[in-house]
Amino acid sequence: MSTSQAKAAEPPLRQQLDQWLFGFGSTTTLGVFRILIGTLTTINLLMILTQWKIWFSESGFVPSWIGQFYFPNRLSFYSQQGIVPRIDVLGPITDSRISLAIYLLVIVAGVLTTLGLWTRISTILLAVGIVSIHHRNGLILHGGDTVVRICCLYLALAPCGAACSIDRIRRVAQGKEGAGPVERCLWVQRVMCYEVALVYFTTFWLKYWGSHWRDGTATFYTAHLPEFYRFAVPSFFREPPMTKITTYFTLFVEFSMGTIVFFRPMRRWILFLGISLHAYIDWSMNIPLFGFLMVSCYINFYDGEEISGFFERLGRRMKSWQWSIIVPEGCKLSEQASNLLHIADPFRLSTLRSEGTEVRAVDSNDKPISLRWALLRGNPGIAPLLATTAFRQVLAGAAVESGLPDVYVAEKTGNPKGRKHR
Amino acid sequence: MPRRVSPWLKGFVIFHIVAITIWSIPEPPAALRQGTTAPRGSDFVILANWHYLKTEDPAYPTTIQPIIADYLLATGFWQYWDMFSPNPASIDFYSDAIVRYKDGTEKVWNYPRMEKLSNGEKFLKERYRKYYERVRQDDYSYLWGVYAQVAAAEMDTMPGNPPVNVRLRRNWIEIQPPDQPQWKKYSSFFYFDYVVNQVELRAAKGAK
Repeated sequence: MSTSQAKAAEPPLRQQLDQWLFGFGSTTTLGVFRILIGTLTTINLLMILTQWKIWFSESGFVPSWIGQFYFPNRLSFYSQQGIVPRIDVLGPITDSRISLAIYLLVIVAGVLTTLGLWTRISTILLAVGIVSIHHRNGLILHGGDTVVRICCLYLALAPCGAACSIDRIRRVAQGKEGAGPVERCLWVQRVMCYEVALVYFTTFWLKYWGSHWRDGTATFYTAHLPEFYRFAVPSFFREPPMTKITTYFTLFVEFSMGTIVFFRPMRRWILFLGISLHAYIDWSMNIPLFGFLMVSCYINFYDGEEISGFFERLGRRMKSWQWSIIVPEGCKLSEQASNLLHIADPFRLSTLRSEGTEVRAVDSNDKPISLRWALLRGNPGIAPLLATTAFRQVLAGAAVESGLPDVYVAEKTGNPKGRKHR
Repeated sequence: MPRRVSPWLKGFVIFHIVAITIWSIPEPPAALRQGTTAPRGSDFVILANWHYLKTEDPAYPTTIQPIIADYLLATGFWQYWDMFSPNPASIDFYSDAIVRYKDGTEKVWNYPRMEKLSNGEKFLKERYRKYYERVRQDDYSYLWGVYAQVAAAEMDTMPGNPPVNVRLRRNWIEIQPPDQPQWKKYSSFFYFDYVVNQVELRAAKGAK
């Protein structure tokens, strides 16, 4: 097909945009994104918890009336038509015990979100909690907090429990879903990509008026502000001409992250530059979690299949972590157990072999290994599952040898050969 | 599962994208807003966004602005990205206060200074830095009374001799351009004199 014919065959731009924004695909990316943001949000909440009294109690720097003065919990922008309430559960509460209890509940929601347990409810609770915390005390928020809040809101709207979650493993264990990737409309993932580009592009745009950014001295000033000092960097990094290079490098990366990153052949290089920028900032400047949060958002630029492929490639390099489950000759795993093993092993570290007369597991050197440990080592996230009802249901009635989880049900089969468990 | 997306969802997503874009577009600098600098290039976009879409200015009545503002501010999707923009800060500030006790003695109260903390403490106490970035500004003078009262409560350690007065002090040093020698000495200025509320002080002591 000639180039002109290929172009003619392409759908119109509006259709391509529609497909990109509202198309269906694997939810693996959203699942990993949920784990990353859930973890960082929980850490963020725990950091503030160490000074909770000073920021959220009536005897601290921001008593309730100040919080409400700064962020009124009812808006009057739509003044002619009435008022709109903000999401602000904590705003009117002046009893520290109640607000602390709510705060702790939000931390629990953060943990559940990370694990992907009762994901829909936990992500909604987390989003409402984070928004309320931010509206209760907006005076201590930095850019990283805004990223946390926006990400939590998107997670609450996304089918992020459909992959890489305990909910997902439970559904598979109950036979409600198969092992293949769950496909959903990915509009949240696409809007997150837009959101990331918006962050960088508008920051770059605003720097247009900054004389220090134009004359190449901006990073000289940031490097000399004692309040940001963190780990040591070579002294020449804090002086010209290096500061000129880092200033223009920052501008280049921010512009690229707002524009070129959508051009697929350039994507990985631009994201690499973004990671380099944040790594340097995080090392040299004390801006807790901001770099980690932004880099976590980068994952949305990759489709679910690409993320799964990345984990599988990584697993192939982890040779000493690989292990095999051995079932008696002529046996295979039941479909349900096979599915469960498949989704509990994102690095594809396990291989199925059919030999001997008993069910057992061996490591990469063919030494016996506890199956439970082999599973946990490859995916610590399944730890809470070992005691769940869903897991037990799969165990029920299964044929097992001592010391092995009952999940591996051996069935008679005509295929005595081992197969890679995919 | 049907692979169709509801037109309502599509409409909402497009509205959402428009809303966050309008809200995130940089705000024009004062000179541009007041017309003392002629706009050029992307300034026209920024000015149009500011006057017609983002702000509640009676001179530029629009119908879309309140809808966007209410949607973003109520839900928590409000956002504005200005990290080290338009210029990074070039002044290092720190805060302390002179606390006078009932018997006339005086002590210095120090607000946490990031550069004096260990890396672990810095990581945890970042909020102190951010809060001070705001509380030191005149626009936030409504915070000063509470700020001074907390200082008094922290310094209330002598039985029968409570703090009676707190004077907040701002200390600063300007980072000089790369080709000039850096200053070594901080300048100081007392900017707020506060008579300690003894009822609140006793309540805070009771809560400790």
